[in-house]
Amino acid sequence: MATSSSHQDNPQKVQFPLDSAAYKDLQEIGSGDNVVVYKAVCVPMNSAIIAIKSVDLNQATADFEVKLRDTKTLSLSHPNILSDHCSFTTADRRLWVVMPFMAFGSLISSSAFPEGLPEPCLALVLEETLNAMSYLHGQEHVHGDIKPGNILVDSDGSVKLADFGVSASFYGADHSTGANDTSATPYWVAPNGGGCKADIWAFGITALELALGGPPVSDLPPFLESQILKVKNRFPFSDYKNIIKDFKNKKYSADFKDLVGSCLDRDPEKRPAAETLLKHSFFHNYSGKDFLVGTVLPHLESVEERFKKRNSGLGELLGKEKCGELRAENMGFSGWNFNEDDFVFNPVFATGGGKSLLSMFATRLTTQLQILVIIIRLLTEVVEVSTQDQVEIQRLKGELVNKKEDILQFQDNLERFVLDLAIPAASSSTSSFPAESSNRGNARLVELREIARKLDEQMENVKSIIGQLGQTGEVQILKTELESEYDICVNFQVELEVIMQRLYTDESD
Amino acid sequence: MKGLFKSKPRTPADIVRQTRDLLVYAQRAPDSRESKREEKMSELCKNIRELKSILYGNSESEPVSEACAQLTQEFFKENTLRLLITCLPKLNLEARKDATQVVANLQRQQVQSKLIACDYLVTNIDLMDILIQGYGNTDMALHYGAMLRECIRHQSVARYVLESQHMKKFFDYIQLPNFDIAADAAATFKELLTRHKSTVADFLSKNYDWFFAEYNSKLLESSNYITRRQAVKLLGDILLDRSNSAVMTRYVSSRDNLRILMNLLRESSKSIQIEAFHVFKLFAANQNKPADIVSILVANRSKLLRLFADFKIDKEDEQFEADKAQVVREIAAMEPKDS
Repeated sequence: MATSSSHQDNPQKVQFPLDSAAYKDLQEIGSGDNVVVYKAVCVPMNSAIIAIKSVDLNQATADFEVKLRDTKTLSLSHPNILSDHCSFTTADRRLWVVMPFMAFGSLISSSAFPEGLPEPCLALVLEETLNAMSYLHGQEHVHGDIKPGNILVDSDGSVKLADFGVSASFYGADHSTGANDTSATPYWVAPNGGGCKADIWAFGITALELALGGPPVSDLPPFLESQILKVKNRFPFSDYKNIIKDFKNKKYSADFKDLVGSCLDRDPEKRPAAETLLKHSFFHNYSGKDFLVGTVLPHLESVEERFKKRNSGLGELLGKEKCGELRAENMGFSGWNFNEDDFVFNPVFATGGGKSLLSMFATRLTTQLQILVIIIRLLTEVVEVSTQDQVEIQRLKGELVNKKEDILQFQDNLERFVLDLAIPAASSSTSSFPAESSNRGNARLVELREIARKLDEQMENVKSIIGQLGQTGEVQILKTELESEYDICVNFQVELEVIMQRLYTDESD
Repeated sequence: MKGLFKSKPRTPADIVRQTRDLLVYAQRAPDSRESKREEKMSELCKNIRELKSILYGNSESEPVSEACAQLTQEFFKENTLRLLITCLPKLNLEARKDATQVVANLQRQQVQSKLIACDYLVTNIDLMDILIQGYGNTDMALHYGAMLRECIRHQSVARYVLESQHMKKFFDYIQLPNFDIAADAAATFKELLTRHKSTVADFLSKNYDWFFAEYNSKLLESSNYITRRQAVKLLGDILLDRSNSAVMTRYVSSRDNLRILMNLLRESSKSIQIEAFHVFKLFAANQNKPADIVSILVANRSKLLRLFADFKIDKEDEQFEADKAQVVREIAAMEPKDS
């Protein structure tokens, strides 16, 4: 792009117009809290294609401007760093940040590669990311939010790191569900302090996530991953989604494992600097750009396509915030030990503090119930469009109301369950589960398992009602949502089984 | 030639001297021999970077205070700062950033427990004129702005800027269409009006009339949402500062000021409303309200009470609730005064 601001000998930055009227053909390609991202053309600039991030200033905190300014003062410029062309405020109280358009958006959840990116491609993406990090760290600047969602790819295979502080969630990627929100993915958070070495940790996680095709764990609370891995062969869950990857998979090279392992050292001192990592042997044998452009990009969806797809679902029906809120989870652990040989994380639990495991599960179940209630409410609203037959409408509505009452009853039970938990049991936090003392805990678990099982029955029932509702778009959306909730519920039961298994094993020791 | 002296590493003072020589070179009109010039400019950039790494340290080492002191002393012994500031537009982006960081850091360096940067600036105070006018230049604004903010850490420098004719220009700078520059100017403006308490109080009482006339008409009544929001927030910060109590008393005795604040209270933006409330409460809490203020408040009593009844902030805030309750009491109890 002719407007690259990275060219050192040309300090005269090309001036983009500071007037919203100069930008045409706005097409929404992403959104997040208070932020909408558009693809657009800048008419006076030979109709160059650019991206505009439009921030609602009404919603932004006062802090926002300070952070933004701090970022700006640095005027970072590097070929691997996404920098703004310009920014200005518009009459409708929005801040427009004009930036290069990156055709493939961020690397978050590249659904074309559920098994992860192939190594040559990983090498390219990671090397470019490291270039940017090495530059930033050289400027005494910590990025603070290294993740796939902040690594952007253009159609020519160029890779740029985005988002410092405020600009967070630029290509907004998958924030509508909250599922990939940093708040819900605590493995980004490096153990033992921040600074450049925290960026290195986050880089390691990013490498892992790109290799696996998703966060080390997707829907599951991360701390159970390693346990589940150990027992999964004993659980022939036929429809258990292939979330759990075989981390011991031989497809990763020793170099890659070494790279990731060194970044994920719990001791920040032992993590290598970005500059050092660039010399890692993993990067030696690949010249990946052609590979990326030729092999990988054709499989990716453009940001526009992705946005269209994403833009349907519960988040859309509910409003994004609400949904994100519902799904964010609290984790009660303090960090991770990365086991390079097994390629798994082993959780390190906080002693004391933190929520107990059981109450966390109860909270998650409550959340699921809430979502289910919402789904039922939304279903009730769409019943009328599904058929003209008034009698039929009444019957379906009646059924839905019944279901809802059943579920509200569950909620009551669950609430009592949580209240019970709040009364502290004599617990010791020496085991890796900061759990309730075993007998009482077991009884509770059985109870919880029962609730979860019933919840899944209820979902089946609701599904059968949906079957009678016809095929309108909204019904389809709700059906998809319900199915994913159902999957979560099934996973949840697996986790419970694992815990119980674990508890029994502990007892027999 | 170079080889002969290679064994002896350059001291920080050497680097400063060499930087200065190169800056003198850079300041002259472009040389006919382009290649030589390019070479020298790149050497200059390298030197500036070295200065930066002495002052800030690098990935291998922390800054050494002795080296920093040496550097600082040599830097201010002659006109290096002036050269660096005036040559800044000739440098490339990376070198500009390095230079900005160097200048910023030097403001805090002590030599024999003295801030010699301050002494230098006082005798070269016209440098501030260059820095402030930088806001008019898109390419230089953010660099000069960052330097400026560091320089006004020195009270005497801040006083000069406050009392200069430049102060009026800030009302335009903070509304520049380029958001980055406008936000930078706003930050400097805020720093000037909040950092050195006694100087600010002195400035405000001496310049009350023109300053608040501009503040009201250009900022609080600006058509730009961000400007209004920042301005009402800053106004609250200024008036609520104890050192400005005389100014505050004067401000809340003006009917025009009250009218403006009441308009801000009616804004659709929650954050403006809340910031406006923090100023408005001072009008209500004033125990010596002039008659015209009382009559405005009485005339609008029911509207105000209705407004405050629904007035909530998202977070729970005891102080806010207490303030609100007090304002409501004051207004509810108000009787029209006979004038």
